[in-house]
Amino acid sequence: MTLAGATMSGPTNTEDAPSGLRHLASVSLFAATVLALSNLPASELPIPWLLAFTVPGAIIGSWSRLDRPRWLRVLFAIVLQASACYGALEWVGPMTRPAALACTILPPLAFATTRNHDGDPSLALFLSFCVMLVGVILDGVHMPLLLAYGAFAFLSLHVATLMQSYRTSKPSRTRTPLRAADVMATSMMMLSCMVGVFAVDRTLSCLPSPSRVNTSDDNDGSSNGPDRQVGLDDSFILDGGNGILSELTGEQLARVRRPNQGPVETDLYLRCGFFTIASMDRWQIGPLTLGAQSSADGHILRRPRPGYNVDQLEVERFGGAAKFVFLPPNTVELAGLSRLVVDHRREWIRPKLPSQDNYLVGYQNLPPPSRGANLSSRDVQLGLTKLAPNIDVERFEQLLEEWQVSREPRQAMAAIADGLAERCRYARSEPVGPFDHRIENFLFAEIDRHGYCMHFASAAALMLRMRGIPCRIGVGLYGGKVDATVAGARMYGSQHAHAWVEVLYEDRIFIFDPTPPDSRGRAFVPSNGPNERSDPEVEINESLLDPMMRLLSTLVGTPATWAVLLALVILITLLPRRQPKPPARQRVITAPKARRALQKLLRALAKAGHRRFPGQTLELFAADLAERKRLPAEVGTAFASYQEVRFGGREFDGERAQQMEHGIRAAIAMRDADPA
Amino acid sequence: MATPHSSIELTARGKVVLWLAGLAAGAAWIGGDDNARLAASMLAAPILIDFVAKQRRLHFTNVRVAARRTVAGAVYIETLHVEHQGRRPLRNCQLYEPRSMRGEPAVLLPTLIPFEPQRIEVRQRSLVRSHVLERVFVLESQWPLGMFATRSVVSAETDLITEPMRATLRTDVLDAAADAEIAPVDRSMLPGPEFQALREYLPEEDARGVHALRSASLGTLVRRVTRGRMPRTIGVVLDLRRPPGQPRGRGLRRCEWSLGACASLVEELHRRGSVSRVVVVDTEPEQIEVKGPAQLIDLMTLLSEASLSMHHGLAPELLADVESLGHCYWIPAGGFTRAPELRDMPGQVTVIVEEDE
Repeated sequence: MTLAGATMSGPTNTEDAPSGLRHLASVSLFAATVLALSNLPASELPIPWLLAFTVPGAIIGSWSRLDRPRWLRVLFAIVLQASACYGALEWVGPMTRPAALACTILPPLAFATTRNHDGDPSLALFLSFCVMLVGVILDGVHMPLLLAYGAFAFLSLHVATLMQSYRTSKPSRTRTPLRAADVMATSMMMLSCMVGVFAVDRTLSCLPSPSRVNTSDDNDGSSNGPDRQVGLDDSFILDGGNGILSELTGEQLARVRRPNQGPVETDLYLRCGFFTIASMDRWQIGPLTLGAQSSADGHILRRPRPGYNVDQLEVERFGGAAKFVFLPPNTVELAGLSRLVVDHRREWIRPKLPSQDNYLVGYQNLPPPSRGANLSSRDVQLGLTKLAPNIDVERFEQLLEEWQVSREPRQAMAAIADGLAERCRYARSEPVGPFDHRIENFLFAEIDRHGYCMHFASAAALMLRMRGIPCRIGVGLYGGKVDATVAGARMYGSQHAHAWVEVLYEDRIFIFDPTPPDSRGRAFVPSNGPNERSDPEVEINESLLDPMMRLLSTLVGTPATWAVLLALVILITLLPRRQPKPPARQRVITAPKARRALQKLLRALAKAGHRRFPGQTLELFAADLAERKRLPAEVGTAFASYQEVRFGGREFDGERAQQMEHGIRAAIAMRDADPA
Repeated sequence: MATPHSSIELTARGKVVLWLAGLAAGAAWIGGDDNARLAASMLAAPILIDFVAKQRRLHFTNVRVAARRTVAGAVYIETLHVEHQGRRPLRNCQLYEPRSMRGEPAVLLPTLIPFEPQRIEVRQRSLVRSHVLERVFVLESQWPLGMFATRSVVSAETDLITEPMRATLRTDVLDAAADAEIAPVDRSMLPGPEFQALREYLPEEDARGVHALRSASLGTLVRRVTRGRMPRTIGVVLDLRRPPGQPRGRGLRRCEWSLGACASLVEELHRRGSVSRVVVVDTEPEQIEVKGPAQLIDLMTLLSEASLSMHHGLAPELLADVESLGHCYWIPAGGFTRAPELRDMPGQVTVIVEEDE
């Protein structure tokens, strides 16, 4: 037997629901729909087309409340929709592809939102969710919009559940007013939903996607495989999102040592990836031509340059670093690794599957290129001089001219490094300012131009490309710390993640690091808000809290943390719980004074010849006295007072004490009057 | 006794969202796409939160209800005292009693604060003649997001006596036990104590009994009742035996009507001032002499528990008390109209059967 079965013949309207709840349902659903529509890019879906696909549906949805013949409504809907489409066509021209996609979703969304009948909220929520996703796919994630949409969508879902219970049942006459606890519970539920979204997202990101491996497998064995675009997780996002650096979340990532136990350089760069396609917000790795490694257990990248030694490094990887291969500059060969995916021309190497095998890497310490050295002729092929599509060239040019940056690579690098060091300061927080892009805020904000290595590298790379110098952004590890357990070794952790610029010369890749030297390889801590400003003194003088905060930040950023957290929450939820003990009932304690007064009264009555029988209640005793006409009013009142104290929970106050006293006097008077 | 417990299950909404979340998560895993992962997260989060925040201890709720006596099919307003004995308040809970709320909507309870009893009034109707010692209630809640529904069964130990639905008896049947109507002047000649009362005139009654003056003053027909004209004690035999060879499961409708007729007859006789000596012929025969309200309640309780029995013979002494009376009603609830005991009854016997038969 279910309630659904029971309510088939019951009332199915929401008129019994409080008006506030009904209004909240309408408002939250409408807000969620509007926010979802706002997320659609206006450039892809022009406003006239948006209106053409929403207004008719909204009008028909509102009109459906009226009782009109169905054919009339259908006719009106056709005419209205056709007119709206014609208007949009005249106004902005033919329909775009996104508009064509939207036309299947938006009319029913607008209709269900405005009608808001029995099952409409669920349908409208689902459609608005689809619209939201379309917006995200077309235009990326706009976090404030997404958060606001999530809040209203979850609120709407909650209110729709409450409304449904009013539809399927009859509210009792006892209505509880809305309490602060109810509002708090709803708010906590919404907040939990938002945290839940993040937790599930992080948990899902733990799962290794087979598509990345499969793509590599497809190209395995062919030296000239098709170009491919690596997934979004390899993007270089300047707002500190899911970039390659943010995935390096393990405490210890790599240990590097020399086979001869010699010391490893303190300024060693270990590249694990690069980005070539410039953008104001998100650099991307660009196309890769994947192939197999040159030998079964290693790969030769280039021939050693004569006259320079080939040094060896042994690299040991831990945790999340298992899916990367770290290479020092001017690497010539790699040994000890199999099942690699290699882009030989771009010097991009990754394992097909995460592997923690140690490997040896041979590299040469070459001096900086001389002035006049030839730049790479592959720059056009590799697209290393392309600028970001929406870059404000004029503003950048002014800066380059101010810093007197020439087209000569060495001079340009030096001038840009000096300019950046003078103009911007290093801070482990996001740049803030009036501009749309963080890199513009980093360079052109009026006050407090700050950023971290990603912003320094991105700005420098853009400026170099404006001067025609081919370059890309390299990411990986820098610095490290001495590992006391192994002689000469250095340990690299997530706090040593770093980004720099790689300038491609004809015979080598030169590392140009525009980040101030004392700030290189320091962990990035995401800002708590756009207006947060960092305090340089605090950054320099690290307090005791900093390592803890870094650890906390690392834990929060680790997907596995969220997965474990989710599992724990579910486990705790499923644990059986005992029923709580009921609170102790308030015991009625007879006031001792009242009992003593009653005993006096009963003794006086007994002396007067009116003894109470054992087990006789006061009521029966009083009735017996009254029947014999031996019950003075004062004695009756005294009995009533005692009963109020004994069984009514009243206090034995002065008034009742006085009534008892009067009763005792009356009983004594009875004894004196009738001593027999 | 029903064991209090709670169960949780996905609602239709939850199933749809779970499917969508699963598909999106699968797409995110296979394709490694961030947008698919976002979609999966936004779909899975409400399911997860709903599961975690779900009110699963509905069975910590205590329902108290007073004993009730009702007639089958009659609507009544039941007062329940609902007290939640869990840790957290119960919100948006629906209460339903399957036995007595068929066709009625569930009642939406106000927020139940722990250990604060709430008084709830529920419209109910018990359709089936019965006597239950325990009432079973179902509590259901979909709070907060409606992805899961928790359902709990809670029981309350109390009596619910559903008496048989009353049957309408013909006036001549009711008056069969009365002597022939004669002139009031002979009233004092009749046996029994002299007692006179007025009651509403029923159709098909003898018009000579109408009290003209009182009817004129009240504007409705009122007749005179002289108690002395009714025999003091009337026998009623309720025969619940099936005829020989009749299988189980047949004659249930007739049985219900007969029980209702018995209840109506005894009530009417009691109202008219007669004493009914009722013999219920069952597997374990019982005899009740209905002298007052207490015995009437006992008889009704007996009728609410009655059921048909297999055919069997009767001990001769069982009907001895009834046979000594001047008039007896015989109600063959099991359909055994040719019972030898009925044939051998010495006095006047009126057999009460349903009209269709």
